[in-house]
Amino acid sequence: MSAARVLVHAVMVAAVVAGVLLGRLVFGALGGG
Amino acid sequence: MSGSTERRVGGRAVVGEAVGIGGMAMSITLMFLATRAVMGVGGSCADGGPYVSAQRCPDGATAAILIGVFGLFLFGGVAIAFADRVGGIWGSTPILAWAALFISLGWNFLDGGVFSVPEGSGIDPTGVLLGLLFWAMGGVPLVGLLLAARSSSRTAGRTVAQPRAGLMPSAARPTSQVTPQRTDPRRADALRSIATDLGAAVDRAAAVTPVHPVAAPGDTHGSIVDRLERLADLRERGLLDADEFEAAKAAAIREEGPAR
Repeated sequence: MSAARVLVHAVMVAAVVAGVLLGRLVFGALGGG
Repeated sequence: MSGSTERRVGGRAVVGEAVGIGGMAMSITLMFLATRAVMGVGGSCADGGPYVSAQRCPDGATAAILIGVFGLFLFGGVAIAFADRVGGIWGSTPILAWAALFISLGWNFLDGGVFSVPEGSGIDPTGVLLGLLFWAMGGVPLVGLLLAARSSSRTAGRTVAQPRAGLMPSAARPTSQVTPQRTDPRRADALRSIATDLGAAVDRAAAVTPVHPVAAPGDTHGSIVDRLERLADLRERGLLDADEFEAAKAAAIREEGPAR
């Protein structure tokens, strides 16, 4: 697997993690949690 | 996914796909947390309208589900728009999102029916059934996707396949996906052997039946020329790549030398 492909995977995994954290943040801001 | 099979992925496509996938993760998280909160108050609730609800929805649950549903469509569209250019497993965005949504919601049902049941009450079979059903709905496509990705990476070393470009149709996708690329040593040996046999057969035929001479009188290189022409023909037809052609040509010349 090339370095560029590894970078793509890393970016996508980081996006998923960021999305999950953002979802928790938004839910908390809406009064949930 | 070896280096020889990968195409270049533009930075804009990666950023666009990351925004789409991150937004989808946020939307699914919102729906997961909202349904979890609803499960915590008994599994159903109602808000608004002229009637007094027996069970009001937890704070933020209604808005979170609305944002989650519409966000999933919005960011799903963004991710799908770039999926084809990113390719690989991230190009199969719809399956990934489907699996994430159903597996996460299935866990909510299982947790509510098995692990987080109120004290004194037993396992809730409805929760178990729904949980397993949702896991199956999310898990089966995910397993299929992973198996397909594994199969694709196994064959990638033998062919120049265009990167698997997800599930979305694209006008840019090539119609022909497989082209011979690497030289298999056994194949090269077999081709050399064929070239040798071919040359020997031509020589024997020329010696036994001089009815159709392949060269003018005095030209002692008729058979080698014929063989080289045949090899060139094979090369033009794509049956031999450059390395194989050179190897077969060298073998033919080498074998022809001492004979003359």
